[in-house]
Amino acid sequence: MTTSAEPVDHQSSNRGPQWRAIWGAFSQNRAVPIAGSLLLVLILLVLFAPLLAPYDPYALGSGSRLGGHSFRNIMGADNLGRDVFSRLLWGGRVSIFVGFSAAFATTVLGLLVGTISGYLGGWVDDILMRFTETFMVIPRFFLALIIVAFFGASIWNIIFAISILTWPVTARIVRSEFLTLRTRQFVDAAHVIGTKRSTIIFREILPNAIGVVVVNASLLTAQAMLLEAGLSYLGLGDPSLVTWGRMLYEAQPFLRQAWWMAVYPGLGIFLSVLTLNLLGDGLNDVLNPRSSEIHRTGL
Amino acid sequence: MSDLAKMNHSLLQVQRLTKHFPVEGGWLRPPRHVHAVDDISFSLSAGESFALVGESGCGKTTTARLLAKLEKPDEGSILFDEQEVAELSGPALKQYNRDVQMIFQDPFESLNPRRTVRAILRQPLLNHDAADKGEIDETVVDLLNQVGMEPGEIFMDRYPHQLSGGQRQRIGIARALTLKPRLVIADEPVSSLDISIRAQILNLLKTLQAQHDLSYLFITHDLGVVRSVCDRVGVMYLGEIVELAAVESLFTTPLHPYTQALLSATPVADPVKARERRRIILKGEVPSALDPPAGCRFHTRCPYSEKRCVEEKPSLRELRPGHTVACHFAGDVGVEAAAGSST
Repeated sequence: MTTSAEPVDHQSSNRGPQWRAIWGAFSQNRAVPIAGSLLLVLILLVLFAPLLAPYDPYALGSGSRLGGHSFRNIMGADNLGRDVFSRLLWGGRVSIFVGFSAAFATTVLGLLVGTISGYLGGWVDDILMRFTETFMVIPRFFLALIIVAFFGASIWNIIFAISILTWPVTARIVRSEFLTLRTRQFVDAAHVIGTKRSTIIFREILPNAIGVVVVNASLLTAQAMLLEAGLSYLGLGDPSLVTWGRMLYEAQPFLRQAWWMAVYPGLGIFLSVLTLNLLGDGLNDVLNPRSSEIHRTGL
Repeated sequence: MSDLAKMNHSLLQVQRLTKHFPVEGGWLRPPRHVHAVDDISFSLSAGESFALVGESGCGKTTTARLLAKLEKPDEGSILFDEQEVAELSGPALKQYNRDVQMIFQDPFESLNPRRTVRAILRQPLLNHDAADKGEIDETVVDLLNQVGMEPGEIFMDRYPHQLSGGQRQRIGIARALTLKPRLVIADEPVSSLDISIRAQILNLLKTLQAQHDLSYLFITHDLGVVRSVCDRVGVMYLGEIVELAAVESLFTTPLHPYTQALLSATPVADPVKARERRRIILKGEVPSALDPPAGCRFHTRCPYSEKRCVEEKPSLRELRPGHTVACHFAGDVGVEAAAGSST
């Protein structure tokens, strides 16, 4: 059970042991490497879509209309004769991009509000939290529908809509972390030695809260992908781009004739959401200082 | 010690210090207050070790936090080097923050789990520009060696969870020493450590005191610690100081009934002596600090309590040179006799 209990040689650089400790914790957890490499494969697949996709995803007549699996179209063709495999790769690009950017924007916004609220406390906290709550009581999906319907279904609007809907949860998580961490003794100790406020926030508190934030971000990515798929499925996605949700939307009338139109994008969503959730779960075990301490020192 | 004048110079003077924490009353009830520290006064000379003892919840930790500027006092004054601490600003305040350092109770809690020993010990030096950039690492290694973590280089890149409890507390001590303080507040510095390590840490604190000319304020509930390292003691009960004396005087002739009870509760190594001595067992619980008893706060549990104790608050009076006590009957025949048999 013990990996990093070994004496750390003092020749190594400043950064070395930290990475070793993190790697040590990762290697003990099975979910993280598996989910991580699956996610990596997914990302590489969609990243290299231009090289891997045999056809232009928008080109009609890459296969016969509603044609099944063949050497020409390994995942069949859709109602307009477009290659499903190519569309899957390109569609994944958009879906995953939306997922990550929305999660990123949400995390940044949530961190900002949560940090200020949790560290300062008092009336600032009261005002920010009431503001946050107003966002939380709005039914998510319907606000997203309205934003997209109102401002147009561009991909940026979708990212915006998703972020504006999910940041309150992140903000509350960050706030609660800060609320408990700022009363910890090591923060008192930092005050006594005269540490500046910004250093306390960024060096003392934030590194201890970041685990939860990272876990939350990976779960958020999955949520954002689902939300985007949901919007696209209702026909409110960006009409000029192929996404997994849009593929499902288009597959609906042809479910009986061409199941492959729906199954592959569905699998794409299923696999990536599952992977992200597994990753989030695994990261929770690794990044939570308490549990990883137990892992590492065998206490 | 260099000279007598220095010994007599009072480094820290706490006068009528008071801190009440509001407990929220809500809409219909007025807010109530926890009387954490109520009108306490004491002083500490340069080079001296002063201890505040008492059970948990008696306000000793709050006193420490007030001195470390982690809390603001409601009333009273703290004079450090004859200067009012509340009025310090700018460079003088910064100097106070360097001069007064704190060692915390729980070494698991007082070190950031995400930072290496190097980062933890560099921080105070960086905050106060206390060392040249190039010499910071050298200074840190030197500190580690001083607190008995030799060779210091080995420990530089370790995280707190890779150290033992005793080692962690040594890091806490090293951190308090980085800024060359004059007063170190030690809040239960050994209570969370194994018995076998306590003596080591206490000896280390003693050695460092001689080396660096430090004054200590010990916050503790352990009278053994007081006896082994301190010069003078203040006994606290429910936010007040009830007895103030030199260590020898307090241990041989405790005057306050509460102190007598505390002393009779400390374990004695010799079983024959342990059986012989009379234990004073206090009745009841410590009253709530939200609503402390009128008169003498100890009257609800005191074996000698009389009508006067309920009505009139005893003030501190000097019964013997340098030995003050807040009890109406301290020094009377009955109280004295009990004290004699308890030691």
